[in-house]
Amino acid sequence: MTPSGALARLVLRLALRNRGRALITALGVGVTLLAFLILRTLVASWYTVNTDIARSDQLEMRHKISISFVLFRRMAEKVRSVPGVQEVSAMLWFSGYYRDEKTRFGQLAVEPAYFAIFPEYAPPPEQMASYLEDLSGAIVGDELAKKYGWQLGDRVTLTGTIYQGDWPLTVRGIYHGQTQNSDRARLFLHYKHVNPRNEHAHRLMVKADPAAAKKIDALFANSDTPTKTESVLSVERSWASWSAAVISAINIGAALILLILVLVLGNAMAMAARDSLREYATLRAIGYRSRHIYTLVLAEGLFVGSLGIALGLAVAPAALRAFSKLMEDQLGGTWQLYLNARVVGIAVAIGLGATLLACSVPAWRASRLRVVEALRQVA
Amino acid sequence: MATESTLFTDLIAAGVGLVAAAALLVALLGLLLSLPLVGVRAAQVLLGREWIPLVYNLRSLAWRKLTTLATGFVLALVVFVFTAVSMLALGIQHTLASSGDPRNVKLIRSSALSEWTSWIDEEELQRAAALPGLAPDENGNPLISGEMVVLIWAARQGALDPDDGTNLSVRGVHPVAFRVHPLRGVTGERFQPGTNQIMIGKALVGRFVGAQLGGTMSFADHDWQVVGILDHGGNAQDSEIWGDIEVMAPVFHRGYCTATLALRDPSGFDALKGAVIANTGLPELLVKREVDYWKALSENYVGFVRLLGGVVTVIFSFGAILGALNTMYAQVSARTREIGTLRAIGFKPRAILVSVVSESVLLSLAAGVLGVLCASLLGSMTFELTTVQTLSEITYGFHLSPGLALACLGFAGLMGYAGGLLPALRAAKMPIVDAVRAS
Repeated sequence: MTPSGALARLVLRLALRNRGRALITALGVGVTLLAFLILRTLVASWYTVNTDIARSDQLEMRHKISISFVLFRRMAEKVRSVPGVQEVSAMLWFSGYYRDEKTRFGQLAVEPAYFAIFPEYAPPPEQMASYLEDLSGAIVGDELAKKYGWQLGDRVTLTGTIYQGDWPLTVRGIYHGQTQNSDRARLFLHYKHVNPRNEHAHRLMVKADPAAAKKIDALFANSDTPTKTESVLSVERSWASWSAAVISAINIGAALILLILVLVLGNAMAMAARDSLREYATLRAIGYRSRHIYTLVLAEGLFVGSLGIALGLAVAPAALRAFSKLMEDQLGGTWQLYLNARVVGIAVAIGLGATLLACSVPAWRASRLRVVEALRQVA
Repeated sequence: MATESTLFTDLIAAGVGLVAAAALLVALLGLLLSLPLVGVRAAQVLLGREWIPLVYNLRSLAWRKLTTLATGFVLALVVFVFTAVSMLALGIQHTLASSGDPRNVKLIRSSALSEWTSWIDEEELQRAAALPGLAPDENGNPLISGEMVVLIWAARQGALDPDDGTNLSVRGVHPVAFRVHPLRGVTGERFQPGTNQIMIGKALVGRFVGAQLGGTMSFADHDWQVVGILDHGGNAQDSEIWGDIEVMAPVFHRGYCTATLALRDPSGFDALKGAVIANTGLPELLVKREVDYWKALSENYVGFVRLLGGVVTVIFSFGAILGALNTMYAQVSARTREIGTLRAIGFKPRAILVSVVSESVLLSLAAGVLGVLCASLLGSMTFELTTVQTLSEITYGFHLSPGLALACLGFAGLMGYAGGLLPALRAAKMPIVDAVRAS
């Protein structure tokens, strides 16, 4: 048998000799990796909701002085005259609730042009057509529809806060979003229905060449409603940056988890290596070199570590689902977290890196072992 | 389209999740059920004066320094995270719950989600001044402060990107506001009515362009001179800008948004609320205690932080417990001979059990003290958050209470108990003959 083949068998034997410890260690690695996955997925979802599909031609106009001041729909006519502008839609945050005050989700009152600016929210064409015909029609995301069991043609009654009273709507379209990360929990209704007099708008959404933003703002610079036009991407980014403290706290948590992983695994491997001193010494005595011992310990750690990583990954989808559900139940709103290939890739790479790091100290110590002393010690 | 392809993975995920949840439940249940049993053993050992001296445990821990340190460090880390997260949640709650005066009442439009979406007209304000139970000023006029609240965008001091900034609340007030809102202190002076002078909350100082005594802040196409710094005592209003409403209202094209009324006595709230409901002149106004208004703003973030912190801590603590488990198993198996000797000279199995468990708890308590101490250093740190309801940035601090510190230590002890129980059982059950014969 080749020396490496013999070593591989030995790795398995040694790793499984103390099965209790191997299992506990693998569980520890799996659990910490799971926590890392949940936190990173949360941060990733924070940043990627909509930002990954927000294209540079999607612009948002707001009042320059304060984000809380309104614009007017009549401004849209002027905006359309700017070269490079293709579509303009007024938008209102409806800010109502469904069933009870805690059940809120994104509700936007928009004009038909909105779906030309944001095709990711457009339902299939035939549904779009029936939505356009029905003033009290609504378009909802598939996640929202699934959550509340809505089907096409169902009656959904929202209770308005800013726009008071009950608002019976009919689901006319269901959109699926372009990628897994696009916000699939929104409800769209007709701007004209909410604001029949076509007066104010919280925002004007524009499809235009990004260079048109400055020209648009110049149009209104000296009016009663000076504007600030930005790409939707940068608006979403600033929303995210306002919660930067929470995100950095989560990131710190993720880093601490890795530290815990390294310590738990490193500690276990140190114990395992201590228990195997006799074997190492024997191997050295029959001619194996110290680098073989180093590899041996590293391989044993990698075996246990990979087992743990696999365990963590196996539980992750169910855990994320349970976590999303918990968040929705406790906080309201929509928290749909999905494992994303990038986060999984990073977690596996970092998990393996942490494993190697954790095992390198015990491996180094084992490889430095003095054969004669080790044999004498255990004898 | 996605439904069929994900069905299989969904089933697997559900199965794995079920198994994991069941295992978790069994482990927790076992832990809980064992607690009284071990407690009884501990009492027997204590009453019978048959315990193994703690010095033995301390020496054992000191013998394997590296292992003890690594395990203790993991435990300390987990306690640190748990404490820090709880301090954060408590800090948000503390900041917002300490905002407002218990005797103050806020009138806000019922359709409004926050102060700046609310409005009150002149006439409503006058009717409100006639409500019963209001505290009078020295001239006998009721203490009622009509206020304008708007959001403005402010650039951060020293930011590389000129677009790096956030939204802040600007409150346009009459001089009566200084009587209605309790102030802990004012540095500099009050704004002169009729001028562009402003006063800023102490949490803003140095963080935004021009936000210092004698500085100039630019918003709404005007320049505003900072003449005073307001200390509200560490609450949400410390993140506000105050100026003369007479000057600000025309600049922002806004009128009164809300009114704050000072009651003669906090118990007058119900009478006042009743009067507003009965008064047909104020049909669309909600009456809220000022304290409740601010407290409600904290709910979302506190819930989020607590939930996320709770989930993370639970997972973290599993990692730590597993680490402690490994360590204690190793300790027990390394001490097989010693345990056999102890049994041989007459120590009962329950004494061994209690000894091993207390060793683990001792280690985790020491780690817990370290974790809580480190977390308490966060007490001087502040952090800024924009809440969904206010959309303006508010500065918060970490808050540690004695009760929280004790709870965190208890949590540490519980982790140690969980990690030490199984190894202790193994040690206690070791037959004397095998133990003494061990190499």
